[in-house]
Amino acid sequence: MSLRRFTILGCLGLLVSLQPATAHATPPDTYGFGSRATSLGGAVGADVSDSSANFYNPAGLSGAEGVRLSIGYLSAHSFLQVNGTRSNLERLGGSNVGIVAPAKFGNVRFAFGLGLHLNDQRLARTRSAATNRPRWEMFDTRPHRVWLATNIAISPVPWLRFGAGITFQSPSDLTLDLRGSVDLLRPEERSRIEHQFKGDLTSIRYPQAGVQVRIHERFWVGLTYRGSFELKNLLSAGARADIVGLGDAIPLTFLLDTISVNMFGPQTVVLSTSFNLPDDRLRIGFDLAWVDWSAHTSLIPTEDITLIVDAPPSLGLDVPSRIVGRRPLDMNLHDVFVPRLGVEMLAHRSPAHEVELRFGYAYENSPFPTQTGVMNFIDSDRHSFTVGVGWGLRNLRPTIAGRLQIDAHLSYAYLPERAHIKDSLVDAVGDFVAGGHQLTMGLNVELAFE
Amino acid sequence: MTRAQQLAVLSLVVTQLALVSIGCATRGNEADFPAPIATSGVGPFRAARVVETGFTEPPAGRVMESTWAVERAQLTDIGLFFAAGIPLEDAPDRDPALAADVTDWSRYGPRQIYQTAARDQDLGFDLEAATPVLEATEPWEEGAVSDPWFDVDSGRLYYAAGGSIGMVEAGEGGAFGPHQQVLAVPEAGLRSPTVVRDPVGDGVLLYVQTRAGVAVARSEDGVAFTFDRNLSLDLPTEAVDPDATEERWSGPGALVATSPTGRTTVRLYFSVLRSDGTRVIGMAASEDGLRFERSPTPAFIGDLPRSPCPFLESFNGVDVTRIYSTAEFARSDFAFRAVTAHISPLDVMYAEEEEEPAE
Repeated sequence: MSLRRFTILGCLGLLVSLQPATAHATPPDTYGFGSRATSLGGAVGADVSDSSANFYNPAGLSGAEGVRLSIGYLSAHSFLQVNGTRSNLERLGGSNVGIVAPAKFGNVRFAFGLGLHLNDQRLARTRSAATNRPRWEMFDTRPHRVWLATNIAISPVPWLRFGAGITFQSPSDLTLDLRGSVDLLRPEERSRIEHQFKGDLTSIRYPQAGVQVRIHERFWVGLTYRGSFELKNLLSAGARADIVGLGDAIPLTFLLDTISVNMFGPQTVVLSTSFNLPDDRLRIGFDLAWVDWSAHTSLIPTEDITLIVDAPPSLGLDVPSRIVGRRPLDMNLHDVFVPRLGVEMLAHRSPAHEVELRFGYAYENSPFPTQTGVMNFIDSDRHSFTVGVGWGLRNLRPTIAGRLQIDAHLSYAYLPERAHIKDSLVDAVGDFVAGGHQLTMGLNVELAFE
Repeated sequence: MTRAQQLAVLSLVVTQLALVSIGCATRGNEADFPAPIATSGVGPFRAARVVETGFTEPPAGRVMESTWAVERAQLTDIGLFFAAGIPLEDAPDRDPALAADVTDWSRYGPRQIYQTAARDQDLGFDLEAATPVLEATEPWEEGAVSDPWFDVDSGRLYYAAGGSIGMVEAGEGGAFGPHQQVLAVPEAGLRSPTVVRDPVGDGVLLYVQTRAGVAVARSEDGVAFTFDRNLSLDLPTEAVDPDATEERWSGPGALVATSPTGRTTVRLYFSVLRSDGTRVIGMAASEDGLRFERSPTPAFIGDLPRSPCPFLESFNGVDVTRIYSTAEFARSDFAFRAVTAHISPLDVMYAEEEEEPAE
């Protein structure tokens, strides 16, 4: 296959996969992907070239010198409180896998990449929000999903890299039908109900793309775009039954249709820079992300409820003529700019070893407004401080024809207390303050073949 | 690569793989939503359970044996104050002209104010341990004292008597006196005094029941009160039920609460008589103690509840409001009112139900 044909086919494949879709907001968004990148605060978009490029900037995949395989584990613990009482947030633990497979045609480098984060506890969690039940929107349900991304990248010249790909997510469409008869007097013996359940977990895709440019021998600039997505849950429940035991059978029809947005991922643009000292003794990275949270649609579901009971007037049943379901409310989120800073220092280098120390910081100001009305989505600003260490081993022949990289990180996030004062003195929930801490740790092992 | 390095690498890789394997084998441990939050005091309230009170007889939430006619009960840090009349042994027949929900006081001895300590083991109180702390002695009291409200901060006991509001102060040995008439409004028929600190000033606010509804009076010293205004406690328009419009507000009970954010409000609970004959406990809140915002939903419904007296405490780190009120129940040919307790937030439990042993 000629280089030209390969390029055309690759671009066509990319265009097909980048069909318009909505989708994004996953474990990597919240807790990072890969120990090295996480320990640098996520400020790696300008020059990342390991498997974490699948998330941070797919263009970096084409910078890999050889095939890279990585496997890691992440454990995140939330110590968040509302009014001094610990919120019921589950620990999140998950494995991550990354693959980078480069190829070279002449002077042009190509690469294919795949990134996967798989939570221990479940593939995905879906929860519909009750307006009067406060919850930590960013950490309660959002990270509980599988994250899978595939990317391709090209580097036509050494100082320029492009990359793009797609990430997969799945909304749900559930239908429950009940039919039969219910005996009010002897329900256990004489009721006859059959049910039919249909669940459809379709997939949606959303794009990401990036570019890395080497401005100077020691200075890289990157730009990354991640598309938005919206995961909707459709739930239709229908019950058509006859109520018996009170004379003539009374037909009953109950229909419930809910459409809710389980998760929204905003489109994001990240501008990244990195600066390296000679011999890579010091690397400083800075990323600034624009996150389009203002496009967030309502998390409150749309509910349509129908109840029809054709009962004779003599029974005196008071059947409501109309049942009002919930309706979406404007979330009033605002866009945010997220700065990230990472410093990597070479602590030791020998022909066989290389040890690096890493420090990172990120400030994520909350896109959620103070909850003064009937909604109670809790969120606070987040300051994340990270430390990490990397141990690179070379000269592994004949055991391994390449390099082994072992990275670990520990991250502490502080969420300052935030006061939510309600407009109404008789709000059903009332005023509350929320804040807390998070502790995240992870370990990654990467094999980089020559 | 030395043998030691190989071992180190191997052990790290094995550790990593073990971590991943353990993770993959971990089952989902579904966590519930964060616990509900209720810091505004609007409720809903639930009736105290039998396991919390030790009383099995209706009405729901009963906290004390009721062989007397109890009118109003208020829990304080030093026990329960309540007004009651003891049935006469040779009581005359009930006056048939009285409405069904009106007590025929000719069948009881003079109403006095009693105090009883809380039991250690539960939320209940022992009626036999109650001691009288105040009886009518002054002509303006017209032979009966009722509707006690004890202000813990000042040690003053406010009460209703003869259509006026009286006050006594705790003296040496716990005796109350002297009897002082602190608010009298001719023809107003004052009842159910409830006193709180002024949330925006230095004085004291006194909420009372009048023939027109609920009113507020003010005082600088807690002794001499000046009538201020009748309160507007109307429901929001969208919450009005045309089949059960509100006809009368009565029996106010108030407290001052500070939310977790530091905002201080007056919370006022009161009995609502509706056009369909039902009674509920309504709630309203105010930042200045004078202009109230009404909650669209009842705090609770209960068995014809009256005279709600709120009590705020911190329980296991949560601000809990308990409302003590009287509820209707029938025993032989007497119509009694029992003291009941209602609790908010709903998930706060003072005692857990014992699980039934498996068969």
